[in-house]
Amino acid sequence: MAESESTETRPTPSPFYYLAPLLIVLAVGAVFLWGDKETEETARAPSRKVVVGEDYYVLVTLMEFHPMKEGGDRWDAGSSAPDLYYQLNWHGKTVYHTKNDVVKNALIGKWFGLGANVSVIELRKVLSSEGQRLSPRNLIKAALISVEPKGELVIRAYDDDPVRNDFAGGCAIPLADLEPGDNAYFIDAEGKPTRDRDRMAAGRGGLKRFVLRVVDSAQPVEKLVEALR
Amino acid sequence: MNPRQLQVCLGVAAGLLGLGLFAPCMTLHPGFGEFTPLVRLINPELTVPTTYSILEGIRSMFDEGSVFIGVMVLLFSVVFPIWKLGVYFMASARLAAGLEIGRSVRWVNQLGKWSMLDVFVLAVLVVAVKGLPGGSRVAIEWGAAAFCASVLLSIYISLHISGGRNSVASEGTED
Repeated sequence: MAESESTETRPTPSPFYYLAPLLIVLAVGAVFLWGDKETEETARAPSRKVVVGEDYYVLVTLMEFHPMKEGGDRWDAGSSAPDLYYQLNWHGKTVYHTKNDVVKNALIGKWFGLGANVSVIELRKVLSSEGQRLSPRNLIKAALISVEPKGELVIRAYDDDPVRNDFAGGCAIPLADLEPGDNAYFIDAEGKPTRDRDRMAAGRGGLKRFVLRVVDSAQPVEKLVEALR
Repeated sequence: MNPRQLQVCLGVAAGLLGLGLFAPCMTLHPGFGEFTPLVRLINPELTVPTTYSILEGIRSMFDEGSVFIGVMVLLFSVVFPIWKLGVYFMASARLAAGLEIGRSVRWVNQLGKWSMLDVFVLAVLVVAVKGLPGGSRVAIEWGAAAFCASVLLSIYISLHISGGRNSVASEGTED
């Protein structure tokens, strides 16, 4: 009895002890999620510039036109939006174009770096064991270029028309300025490309902006597919 | 094991539990049998491996409408283990103060048999997904190991807490 009385006089531990594991779990979770977020941001952050002498796949993944042509004319008869396609020129030669992959009646066009031009009729050839081979290499829909110190890549955008294709705008990008990943460019009032969105011309007409994707061609096929899709 | 050592072990168990809940627990690698290469070409998104933590798994259960299962897993994989460690923390503090461990420990020990339900649920999930056709497979990630380590450590701690209670009881302070 005397012992139980002495027990009662001892101070009861703080109820904080009940919360201790919850706080530890939350702290570990916060550290874990914070680390995870930082890793994601590092992965998303633009990496170093392209390396001179290395080969890269390049393609335009997104292109936007102004609602009017340069000069204020309409794109097509009536209120139709333009039919977008582009071509990439390197060393004065067209190294890639999307003339066979026109984005119809749109002001924004998107393209993917992978695709198989296989019709339903041809599908049998692909599926059969002795049929046509589809290797990742021939599925890449992008230009392969080599980065040179003073090399340039020329992007030319068009509105595909039955009679005559309308030139929507274009620009030359110094290859050494490119970064692996997505490079967003905006056309300024003078028709020059800039990475600064605030300098984009508001009502200039023609090509408004585009995103140029640059992918290191030396990557393993799995990573190449991941980067191009 | 003295109360201070018990508290260190409890801290480690709570840390492991935090890792077990937030860290990757399993990765699902979808397979489509002989059509896997073709699916990879047509819709690569379908073949991308997906990694889940226990908390993400529970959230996806709620998202997909499996509320009952979600609540059960939440209770026995998250709420109960945290509560159990909280009770043990308090018991170790009471032992350090020379007090009896309290009634909550008995409740936890009564409910202790349910604590293995989380391991069971995990095992069932793994077996269920491993059984999918088309070559889908599941890779267990380190978060699952941390979770299991936390459960095992808390069982080990419970044995020592009970030992502490018995010793206190033998001194006549047990009610």
